Amino acid sequence: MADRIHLKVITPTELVVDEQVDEVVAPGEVGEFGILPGHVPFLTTLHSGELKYKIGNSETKLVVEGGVADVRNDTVSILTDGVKEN
Amino acid sequence: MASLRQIKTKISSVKGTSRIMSAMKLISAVKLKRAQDLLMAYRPYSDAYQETTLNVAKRCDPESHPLLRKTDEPKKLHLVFLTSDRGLCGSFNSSLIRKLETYLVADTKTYDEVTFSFLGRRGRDHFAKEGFKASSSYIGITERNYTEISEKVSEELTREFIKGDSDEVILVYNYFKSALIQEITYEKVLPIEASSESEDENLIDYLYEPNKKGILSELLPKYIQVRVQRAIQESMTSEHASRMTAMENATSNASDVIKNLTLLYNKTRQAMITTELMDIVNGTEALSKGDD
Repeated sequence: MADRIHLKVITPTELVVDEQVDEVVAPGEVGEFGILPGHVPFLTTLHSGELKYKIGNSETKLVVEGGVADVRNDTVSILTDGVKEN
Repeated sequence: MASLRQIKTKISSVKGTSRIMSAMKLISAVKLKRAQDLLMAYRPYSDAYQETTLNVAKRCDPESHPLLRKTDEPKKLHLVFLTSDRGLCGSFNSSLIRKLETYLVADTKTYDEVTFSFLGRRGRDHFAKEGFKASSSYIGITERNYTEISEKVSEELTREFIKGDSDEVILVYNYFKSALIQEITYEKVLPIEASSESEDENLIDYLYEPNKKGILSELLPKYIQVRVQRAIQESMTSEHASRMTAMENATSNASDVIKNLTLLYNKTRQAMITTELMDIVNGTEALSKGDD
């Protein structure tokens, strides 16, 4: 098990994030969910809302406009229509 | 031998044409740059979308969504054929059309029925002349409207596939490898099936939230749209690249022609001067001989 997660946030016009992170919190269809290393494969649609990720102690926030989150093998791919940076 | 005036007119007409062609080259270069930027930005998204969808398809039972339906002996083929609206882009359209014609003769025998969608005027017009009927065709695709068009096309394809009017959907287009190389590509988009090369036996199914059905019916139609849009963008970028190369070749050809014509012009002029001089010299000689 890797001790970090590879987070990718991709929109049709840009690759927003492509980084190793410690924790991801995303706005799922039925509520916010958190992903830590070693998560089981998980697929959900996203609501528009806040996506947070932590690298060490620093937390970054983005606003995503819907989309899909694909969690697999310690990789989180967020495919969204658009991103606004806070 | 052509007269001086004729050659002169020809030179100036070739010069005019070459100016137009080099202008077209510059325009294509700008358009290529923009289309290429859009394409390069879209590729990671569509690749990721494809990876996710195929991963889901690998884990799912084909029964769980109509778009995953597999037919053992596909009988109805739907071809989506992407060309450009305009010409003057080298072999961009012609080689694609030729390839498709060979394909139709050679590889579609197992199908009972082949239907077409044409995106782009060139392909549509060519196959209309041959008597093929298109179930739908779109022209006037630009950077501004390709998202809507890909939505319409994918919606049609999806609807048709679910109704059972097609068993397989294949996209045919020019894949943009580089500004100099474009590759003719056949891509099966429906049914959605994962390549079976990496047979992992211990595939763990996803946890789906809110539920499997809801996610599939959101993910899969969108996937078709993403694939169609990607193909449109690839084709459009290839078109500009192809036109740019063609115009560059044409411009350098024109300057060769101008060089040859100028040479001919100078030769003719020199020959005329020589003839005139000979006339004068002969005349004087004749006169001076008469004096003796």
